[in-house]
Amino acid sequence: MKGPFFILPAFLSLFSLDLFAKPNIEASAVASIAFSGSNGFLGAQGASYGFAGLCVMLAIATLFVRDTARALLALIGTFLGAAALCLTLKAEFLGLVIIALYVGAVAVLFLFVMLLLGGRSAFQVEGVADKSAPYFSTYGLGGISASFILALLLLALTMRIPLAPLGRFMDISPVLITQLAQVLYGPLSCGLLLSGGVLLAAMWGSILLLSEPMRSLKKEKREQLRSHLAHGLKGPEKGCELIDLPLYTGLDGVSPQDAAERVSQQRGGQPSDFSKKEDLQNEDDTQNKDNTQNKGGG
Amino acid sequence: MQTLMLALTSLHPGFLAAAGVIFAGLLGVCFAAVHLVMMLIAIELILLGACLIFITYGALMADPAGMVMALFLFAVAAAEVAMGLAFCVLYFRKNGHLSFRSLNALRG
Repeated sequence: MKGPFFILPAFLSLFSLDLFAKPNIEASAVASIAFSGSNGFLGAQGASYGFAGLCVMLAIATLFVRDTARALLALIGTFLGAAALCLTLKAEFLGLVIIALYVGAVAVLFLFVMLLLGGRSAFQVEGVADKSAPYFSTYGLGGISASFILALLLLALTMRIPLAPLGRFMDISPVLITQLAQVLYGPLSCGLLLSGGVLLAAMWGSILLLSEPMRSLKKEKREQLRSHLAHGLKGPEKGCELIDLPLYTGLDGVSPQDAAERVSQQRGGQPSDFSKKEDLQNEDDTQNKDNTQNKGGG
Repeated sequence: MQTLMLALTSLHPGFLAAAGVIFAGLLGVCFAAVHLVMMLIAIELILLGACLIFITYGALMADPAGMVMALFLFAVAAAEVAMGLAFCVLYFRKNGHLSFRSLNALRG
């Protein structure tokens, strides 16, 4: 991300808007305004302008940075700028709620999903890496915003517009948390219950959405195992085969060799693998005995 | 032009930031959303702008109702993100990508 590239227009916007707010200044007094206390460039109102500019710039950068991880970082910066703006508005509680909820939950959830889906490679969309894709260049966007802000600055220096206080110069009295609680649990308690219901429904819905494919996956695995048993794990020649056998073959005191013979009769008269193995073992035993006798004799 | 400048400079920066963030979100939904997560991010920006309007109004008017409305919007935004990201994971499992261009399963 081109951090300085976006910070510079933010400060320029702050500067131009502050000049709009003070129409009767001389151009040479810019430096004194910049450090003139609470009403100056770096004062409380100037800080709110600065955070507003930063918020907007990072919001635009969120959408025009091609890498999704960096876009998420810019989104976190936007949330932090909005929280700082709330602090300048003397709404500290909501600023902290923005940090806890948006930065701590929503942005981390985005990052977590990005990690689960395989990192940056999951977000590579065909055609976006090309220059013909409908993605604007970061440099082009920064240039447009910087030129717009410079035009504002020039207008502010030349026009010297008289202002009317429409919120810009209003005194802000802080809203206490107790007042918030009185409204939240008083006249708007129905909304509180509704928002809780919305959150519960979202949680339930997302769990259902993600658990349904797991059930179907288990069904698929079960079917796959059944087909493997029926047709063999490595093809029908090498795998085991399920056939229907009469009940007396296995459990009514019949020896395994007789059971194998009966199975071979069921399969068409061919000798079964079990009986073949038994024969081979008998042959091996007789050979081993012969070898030991020969060695003893030698 | 003068009226526009007057409105721009006399408004509180909270409103200006809200307007800018909502504009950026709309721009993202229209032009920059190439996959589903980007679309969700743009919608998040729009909701953040709406929250900023409520918070600024509540602070300027010293009215706690505006801030309570912002709290409700936070809940809606969190629910939207939970459902949207679950849908993203489901879509990725099914299709192997998150591209927006092939999202035409309902087309007749």
